[in-house]
Amino acid sequence: MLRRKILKYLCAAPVGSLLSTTRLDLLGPEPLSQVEEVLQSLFAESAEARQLGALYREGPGGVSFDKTLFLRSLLPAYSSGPERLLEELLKRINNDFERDEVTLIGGWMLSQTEAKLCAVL
Amino acid sequence: MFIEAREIERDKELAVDVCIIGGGAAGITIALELEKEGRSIAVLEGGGLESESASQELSRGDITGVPYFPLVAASQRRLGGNTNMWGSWCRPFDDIDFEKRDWVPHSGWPINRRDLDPFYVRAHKVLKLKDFNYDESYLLEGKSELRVLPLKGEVKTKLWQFHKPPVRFGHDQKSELTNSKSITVYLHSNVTQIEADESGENISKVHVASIEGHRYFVRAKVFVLASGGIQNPRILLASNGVQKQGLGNQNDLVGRFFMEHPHIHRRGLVMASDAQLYPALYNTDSQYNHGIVGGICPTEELQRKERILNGSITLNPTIRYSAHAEMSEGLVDTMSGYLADLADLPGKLYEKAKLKITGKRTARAPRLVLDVSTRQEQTPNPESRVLLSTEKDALGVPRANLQWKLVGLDARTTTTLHKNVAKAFGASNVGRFKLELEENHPDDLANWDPKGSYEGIEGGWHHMGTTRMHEDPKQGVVDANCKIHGINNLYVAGSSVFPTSSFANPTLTLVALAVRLSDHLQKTVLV
Repeated sequence: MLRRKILKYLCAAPVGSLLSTTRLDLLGPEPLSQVEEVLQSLFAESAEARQLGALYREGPGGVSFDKTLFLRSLLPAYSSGPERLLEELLKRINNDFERDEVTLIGGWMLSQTEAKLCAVL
Repeated sequence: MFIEAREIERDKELAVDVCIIGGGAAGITIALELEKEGRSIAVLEGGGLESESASQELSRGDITGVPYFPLVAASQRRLGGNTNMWGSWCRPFDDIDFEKRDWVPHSGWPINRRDLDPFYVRAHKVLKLKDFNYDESYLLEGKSELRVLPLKGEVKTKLWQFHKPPVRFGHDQKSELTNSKSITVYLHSNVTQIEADESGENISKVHVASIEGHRYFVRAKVFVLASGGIQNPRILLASNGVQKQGLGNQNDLVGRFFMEHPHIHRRGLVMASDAQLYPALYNTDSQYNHGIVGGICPTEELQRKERILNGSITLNPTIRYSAHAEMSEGLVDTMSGYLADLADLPGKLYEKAKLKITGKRTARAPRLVLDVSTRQEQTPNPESRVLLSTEKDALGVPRANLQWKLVGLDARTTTTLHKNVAKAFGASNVGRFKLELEENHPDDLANWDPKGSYEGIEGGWHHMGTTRMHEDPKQGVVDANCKIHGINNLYVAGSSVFPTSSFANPTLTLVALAVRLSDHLQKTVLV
């Protein structure tokens, strides 16, 4: 039901306005929490990912971490299904390293995306 | 043939065409290249055929810079020299290693890689290696278990090749030397002085002595000093009868620019994404099983962009973390679990359906944790040097004093290389890298005292640069043909002539240069 709602919204919205605050606010927090739910589900058994997330939030990178913004950036991919969401995440993780968008957690070099992903959990 | 010093009449003067001081890789290579009917070649070897503590004691010296291996062990005083302990790591220098690089002070050779290629081909035969071809397609042909990591980014794999067992120059060429009609190897024959004529422009003879007190002299048309990167400058500095500052030292360069290959072991961890697929090529044990080892190195582009030196890393299964050790240290088990879950994500999407059908969960693949070892080029640094000690050895020759010094660029190269390898691993999805070296190093050309996470930095038993090559006598001790500036008949062979060090081990290049020098002598002095 919610998926249909999002698809309807996305099809109706002009290109470029998909992520506008006003339009998303109209949908309320549900889409973002859906994304978060999927991510939580994928890492349901991963205490380690949660540990990394906690360390990221405590560190310098975590100070400016905006969970809402991060989840919102995943909405377009999520709207095409969990497989597409996963594909987007993995692509971003690899690309982050190529673009030097990385962070260190305990000395381990992680992609910004995967650190934020862990921080969401 | 072989002759012991004790067999020579005291104070006798021998006269030969070529006198080679030192019976190591360079000296023996030159002797065999120059072998010719009617020509007389003397190789003066300070030790015997086997290791002897009394001979070795002559190499003892002081260390007053960065901690180093004891000098008593660093220069092997027996036939074959340091090839008696080398591991046969062979790789030619890269093109960039010969270039003048504006971010590397005192860089630039008077020859380039193309000049040396024909001699690398011949050096490969001397060292019993495969062909002079370091392409992956050639060296890895038929070795499907040795895979090159598909790394994205500005790092690439470069290969060493090996001959096992390593060529031991004393042992492997012994019968050739024994049967040669041109070459005489004089054992227990230590050169205590290279004597120049009054003008200082020609060497008239060398003084030779043994620990037992035997003494004689050798005159020659041409002399080649081939005693290694610590003993070469030592002998030149000590030979100050005519040139008071030491032979070839009119511009205070002899002994300066001592370079090693800084080795930093077990600083840096790699967590491989999938242990089952991880290639063994980068494990140094691969030298024994396959005669090849791969290193992950900065591309030329990265070296230019980041203004760093050349270098390499290899990866061995960690000895710091095991099933029995505390895996929670260093977030090792955390990363292991996270990477396992990341790798399993695609499967997770099917898992929910699978559970309904089979009730089975995908098993976690085991992680592979690897220690990072770095071997790299050193910045040419005039303050890193071999001097004479105030102490003398049993033959009355001042001992060597090694002041090994490093600068900020040496440290920055390591950390930059590690960061770029870390990015390449992530971008290529082969794993994650833990950076374990601090970045609080000084400016590139400022003195750097390796402390903290760099403690334990060591050399590779490679002694380079102390009689460096340059066409300008104000910038080098020897010219492009390895002749000492200002002296007509004294040449230097070995890695002491290298102006820069690359990250590649020196033996292959010094043997190539020795072959080149031999050709030069054949065409000029020995016609």
